[in-house]
Amino acid sequence: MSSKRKKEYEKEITILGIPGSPGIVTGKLFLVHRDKISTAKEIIPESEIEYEIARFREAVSEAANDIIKIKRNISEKLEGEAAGILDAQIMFINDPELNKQVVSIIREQSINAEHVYNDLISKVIKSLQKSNSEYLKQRVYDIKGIRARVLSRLRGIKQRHLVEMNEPYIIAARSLGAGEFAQMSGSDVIGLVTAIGGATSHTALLAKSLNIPSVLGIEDKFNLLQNGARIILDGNQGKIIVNPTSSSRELYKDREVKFVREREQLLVTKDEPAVTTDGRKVGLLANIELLSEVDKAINAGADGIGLYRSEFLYFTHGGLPSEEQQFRAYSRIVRKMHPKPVTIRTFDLGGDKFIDETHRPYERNPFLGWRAIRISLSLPEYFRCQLRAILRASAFGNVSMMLPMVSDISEIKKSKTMFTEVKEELRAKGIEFDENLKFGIMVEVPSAALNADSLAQHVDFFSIGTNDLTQYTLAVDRSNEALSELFQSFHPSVLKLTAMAIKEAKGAGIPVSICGELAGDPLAAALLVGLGADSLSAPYTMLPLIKEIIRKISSQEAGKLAQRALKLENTAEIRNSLANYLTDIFEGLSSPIHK
Amino acid sequence: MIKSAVFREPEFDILNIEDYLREKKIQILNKMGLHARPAAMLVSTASKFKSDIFAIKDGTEVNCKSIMGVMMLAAETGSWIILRAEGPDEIEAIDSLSKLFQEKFGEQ
Repeated sequence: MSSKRKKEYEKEITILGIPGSPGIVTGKLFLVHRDKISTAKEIIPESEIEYEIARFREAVSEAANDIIKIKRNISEKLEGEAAGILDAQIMFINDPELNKQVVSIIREQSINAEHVYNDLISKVIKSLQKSNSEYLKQRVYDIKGIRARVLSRLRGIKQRHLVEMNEPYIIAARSLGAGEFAQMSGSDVIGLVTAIGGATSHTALLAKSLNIPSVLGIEDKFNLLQNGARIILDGNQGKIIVNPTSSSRELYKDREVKFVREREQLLVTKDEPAVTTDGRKVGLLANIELLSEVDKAINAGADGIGLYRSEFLYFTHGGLPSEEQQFRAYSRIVRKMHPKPVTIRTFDLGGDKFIDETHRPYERNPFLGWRAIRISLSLPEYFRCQLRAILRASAFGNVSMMLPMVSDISEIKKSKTMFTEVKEELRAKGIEFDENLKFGIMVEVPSAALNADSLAQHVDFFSIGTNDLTQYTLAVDRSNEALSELFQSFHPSVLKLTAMAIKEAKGAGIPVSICGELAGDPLAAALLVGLGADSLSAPYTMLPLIKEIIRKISSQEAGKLAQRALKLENTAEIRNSLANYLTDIFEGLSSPIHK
Repeated sequence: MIKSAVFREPEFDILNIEDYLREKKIQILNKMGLHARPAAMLVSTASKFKSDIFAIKDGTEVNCKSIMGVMMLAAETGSWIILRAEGPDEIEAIDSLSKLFQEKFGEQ
């Protein structure tokens, strides 16, 4: 690189994106390549050939381990034939004949492992497709899955060897699933940048609850990011500064310190109850994904866990967790929170939550497809296994459970039947559980809100998921950054459905909680209290600020505010009216109020 | 010598007693043929031996420790294959593999 080009490359650049989660950090970038796996032919230099072979062998053994892990996780439930299929997959991956050929071609022709492996597997697939046997033709799908596994492992190994980070870093990826992010996020990850994805994608939610600042949707500006470059990430404004000058560094250091101080100040009242000036208590609960967040939620003053996203066990285990694994996780959370309540949401998989591409079934409209309660009901053995684990954990504290994405009453009835059967089974075996465990649903599909009066007759509580409710009401894919302006949680239609669900819950005498992003938005706090929500469940990082607001408003005033908001005709008017209200009661509040 | 050549069984290429013991023609009796579980059982059993073990059908010879190979044989029920082992434990290998076939891979 010439000195002139080098200079240019080190010039300070400011890139604007969407604020994903608040906070300011400075650190080195780690680019995660998630583009389509390339199997293009590359010639490997003589000196790298043995490394390439070792890389291939490592990928094969990692891919085999992946399946062994899956098998271990679910083998309690699997009998002969199905376990045999996994065994066969392990054998395919470890096939000595095939792998010997791969190694000898790499060695003799100096070609990269991806190309050689893909080439050989493609030949096998071609000859299988020509076969007359239906059985052999069917094997093509297995072999394609195995190929994807080995290739994705190969890609991972390359990355890990490319960058040797010995300091905290900021992850940058074109797109990153919540599961992948969960696997990566250790203590070393201090920030996240993505080219695509809106503020309510599951990855953004996870970043928020892990307290990791993020900037999303920087789109084609992503190409300006270089591996190892030093950047400032401002999650409050959705801005990143590449190669910052010393004056930018100082400016942002000040802002970072100020932001941290403001957060700490809010924690002063964290042990005070969230009560309005006219004496109404509002439950402030935390949304969590990982066990490690429980302590943080308690420290932030949470009254309980309002949403435990159990599907994150699926990501952290690399497959469906067994009943025992689930039981261990649930009971640890429940014990830690005792006597405070914990609401476990059953697996909300599908949509944008699959562990990686190899697990994702093809769907034209995944958010309208096989996801959440639909997956659970179609896999009754796994669902029962989760119900058993939840019930067993309920013996150790205050547990509720809820079903995600309910769109029809039949889903409640089917789940309840299974729930009752599982209880019977536990009773028969003399296993303890809480007979009064509350059974609730998420109201996050318009059909559920519209039908709330009859659904409320069958459940113990509602929890309104505003993210999906917004997505399904407005027909706007929440992870599509091109539509991020249309994704309006304050849209009049969303508010009307929310108000409707709350009213019906009140009518039926069951409590109602809000657990979407809106619950953690300072702008929405007064509105939701005014609509009658009994509790708000948000990322724990937002709780102190929300509590501060609740302690400053009167329930009566908030009620009037909500009635006024319901009469406004568009999002901008509603936001303005809420912002004015908040400014009035909160003169001098400088904490970021996010879009 | 000539006499034995004339009277040997047509399916076997018996040159001496060792060859006879380390090679065996065997019929596939289980319903599924060498598919899925039986194929996996054959590979995992073969992999326990040090010897190289091959299966031959219609002139195609494959490595019994390779699932791809065994699968590509597409051996249906009722068909015949020749098993051959070469190595330090070849006789035990053939013994234990033929038992697997005779017991129909634990079917029923």
